[in-house]
Amino acid sequence: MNPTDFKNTILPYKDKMFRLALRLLNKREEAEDLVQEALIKLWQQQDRLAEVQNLEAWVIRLTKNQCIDRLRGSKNGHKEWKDGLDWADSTPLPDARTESADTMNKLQKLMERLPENQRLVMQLRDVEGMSYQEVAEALDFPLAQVKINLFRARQTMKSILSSRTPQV
Amino acid sequence: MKQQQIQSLLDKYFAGESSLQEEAQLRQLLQTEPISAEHLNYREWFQLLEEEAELSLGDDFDAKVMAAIEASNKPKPVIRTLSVAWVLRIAAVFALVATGLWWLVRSNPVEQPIVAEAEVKVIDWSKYEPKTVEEAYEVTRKALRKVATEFNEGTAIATQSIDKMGEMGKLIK
Repeated sequence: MNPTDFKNTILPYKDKMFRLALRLLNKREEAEDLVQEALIKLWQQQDRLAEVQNLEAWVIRLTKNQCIDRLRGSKNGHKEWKDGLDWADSTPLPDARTESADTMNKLQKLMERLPENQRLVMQLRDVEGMSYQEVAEALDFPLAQVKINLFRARQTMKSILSSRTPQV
Repeated sequence: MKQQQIQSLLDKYFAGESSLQEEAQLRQLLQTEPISAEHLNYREWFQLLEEEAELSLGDDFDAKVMAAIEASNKPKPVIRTLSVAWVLRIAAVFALVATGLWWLVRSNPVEQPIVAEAEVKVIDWSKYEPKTVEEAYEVTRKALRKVATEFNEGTAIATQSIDKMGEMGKLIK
C-alpha cells in the first residue's frame, strides 16, 4: 500500500474514529491526537491490511483499544470511567427538572457518563447508524451483549429525558 | 394517527427493538410532524445525535497525517555491517594467506651466490661491458628473457600455493 492508497481507503474513517475517541475521552484535542496516532499505527500495520475482511470494524476496534489504553493509563480517565459506573448504579439523577437553557449540553455530558460499553454501543448505533452485527464486529462483542448494552443505555436516556422539563 | 406512530416507534426504540429503518423514520417524524409536549425532549435528543454525527476533522488534519506518513515512507539508508561470523572468516583467510606465504618463503629460500671477498675485489667489470651496439642488444635481450622466465615460474608457484590454501580452507569448513 502506498500513501495514496492509504489516503483513499483508511483516511476516510478518520471522522468516525474521531467521534468515537471524543465520546470516550471527552476532550477534542486529546481525541484528535489519538486519531492521528491510530492512523499512523494503521499505516505501520499495512502488511496486515490484506488479511482484514472488515476494514471499518478493524479501524474502529483499534481506535477503541487505543482510547481504553489511554483512559486506563491516566488517573483522570480511570476516575471518569469509575464515576460512570457509580452513576449508572444510582439512577435517577438528582435535580433533573431544574436544568437550565443549556440542557442539551448537560444531556451530552450525561451520555458521556454512561458506562464505557454502553457508551460505545450507543455511539456506534445511534450516532454512526451501524447495524447490531456491525457494532458487534467492530467492538468484538457477542451480538447479545450489544443488544443488552444498547437496551440499558437507551433505558437510562429515557429516564433522563422523560424526567426533564421540555425546552420549547 | 402520527402521534400514535411516533409513540409506537419510541417504545420500540427505547426497548432496543427498532430497526435502522424504523429509527430513521422516527427521526423524520419527530422533525417534520407537529408533536406533543411530551415528545419535545425526544426530538432534542435525536437532534443532538444528528449534530454529533456531523462532527469532523478538518483538511489540515489530513495534511498533517499524510505528511507524517510520507516522512515514514522514505527509504532509510541501508547500513551494512559485518557479522562476527564474517569477521572470523576473513581473519581465518588472512591467517591462512600469511601462513602460506611464510611456508612458501621458507621452503624456497633464495640461494645467494657465495663469493669470496678476495674474488670480489679482483673482478674486472670492463671485460663484461659490451663493446658494440649488437653485443649490448644481445646482452639486454638475454637479461629480459631471464626476467620473464623467472617471473612466469614465480606466478606458477604462487598459483599452486593459492590452490593449496583453497583446499585447506575447504577442509577447515
